[in-house]
Amino acid sequence: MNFKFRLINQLENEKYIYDYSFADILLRVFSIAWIGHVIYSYKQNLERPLELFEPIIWIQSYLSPNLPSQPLFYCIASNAILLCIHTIFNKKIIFRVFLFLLLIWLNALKWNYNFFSHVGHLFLLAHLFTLFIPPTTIKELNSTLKIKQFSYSIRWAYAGVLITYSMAGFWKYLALFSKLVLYPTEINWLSERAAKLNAIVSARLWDETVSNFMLNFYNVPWFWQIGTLVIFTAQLFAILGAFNKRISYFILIMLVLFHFYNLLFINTHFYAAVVVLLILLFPYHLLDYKNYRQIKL
Amino acid sequence: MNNRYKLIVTQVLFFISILLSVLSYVNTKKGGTEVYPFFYWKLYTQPLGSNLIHKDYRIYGVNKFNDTVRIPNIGYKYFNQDDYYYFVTIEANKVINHQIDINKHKKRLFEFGKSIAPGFNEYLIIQEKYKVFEISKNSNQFEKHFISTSK
Repeated sequence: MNFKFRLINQLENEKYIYDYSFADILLRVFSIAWIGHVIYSYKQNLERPLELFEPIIWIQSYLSPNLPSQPLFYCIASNAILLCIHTIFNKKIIFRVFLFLLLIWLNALKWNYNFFSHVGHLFLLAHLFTLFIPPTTIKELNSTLKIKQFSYSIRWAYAGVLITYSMAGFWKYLALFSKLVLYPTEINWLSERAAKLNAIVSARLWDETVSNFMLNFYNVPWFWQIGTLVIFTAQLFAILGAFNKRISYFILIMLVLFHFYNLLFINTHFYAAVVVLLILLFPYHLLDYKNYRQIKL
Repeated sequence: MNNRYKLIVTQVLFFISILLSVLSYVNTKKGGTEVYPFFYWKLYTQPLGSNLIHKDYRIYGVNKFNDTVRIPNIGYKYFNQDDYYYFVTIEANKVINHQIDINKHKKRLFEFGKSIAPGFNEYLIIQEKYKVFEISKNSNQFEKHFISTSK
């Protein structure tokens, strides 16, 4: 055992594997809470006028052209909860695939009222990309190659989740450059009033107003432009967090800050995304360093 | 399936997801929908209100005295603020772009209005157009434009 851990470049691989052993369980625990939220939404939908239910995307038209009956819905929701618990202990791919399909159905059900939100997508992608991560623990891996393969399965799965942020960063940078080059006189994300305008309109969408304190805070020179650039950059390079632990800490902090700002000040609530990011990227080995060292030695 | 193949499958899945995200973008541009759950994440590429004027949509109720009452987006039992905002904005855009049968729309508008604020004989969708920096000083400083009625 000692031999394999003395090899070069092993440390990073071990951290990914150790941390994932927690992430895998927590994702399933969180999934139960997420299903609870879907049940709450379904109960709310039962009270809504039937005329307003209208499938938006193709999968909804096939799988739930109308609001499903209560026996069907509760059968699927309870099976999904059972699979969340079952896949903590039994990591066979077939059970995980079933769980993923049920979650796809449950998420699509919520968005049939003129709008299909993307707030649940990161959660679904976390389930999708971790389907094929081997059902092994770090203690069972007895060769450098196996450790490397296992660690890279985790990294590529995380890359699949984090590339969504890189795509968001790509579009933001593309739009920013095109504005700066083609329409330099127009307001863009680097204009001094951009964050303030965005906040005022976001508040108004919900018939709220921005506090005087925040209105003054938005006038602080350079703070918001620099903050915007830092967040855009963290989004663009988010995928690197899948391949390097230290970068992942920075990406996690920046993306969580980004979501918290959106949540508190511009009425954009990606709760599930924040929890999924924390579950996947949290450095559990730092919290439980003693146990982590014992496994290593 | 051994671990090596599982790694390859995850890598293939990664590249397929990128392809499907591109397909989602192309399909959406052509007027279709995304390849769920693969989205292209083009969100907030410009700050809201960047042209200094913004248009919003609200439901108004008409009571038996013919008074028109604004029904604000403050969250209701069966429709939270996001639900209200997206339902009304997208419904209004469907009417503006002639993408919905008008009789069907009238029924949907009445049912939605009744669900959030019952007791009115008629519901309207009104476009509220405002200058962003003015609305932050006075929340009643906006122009109203009629979009549709439930009657």
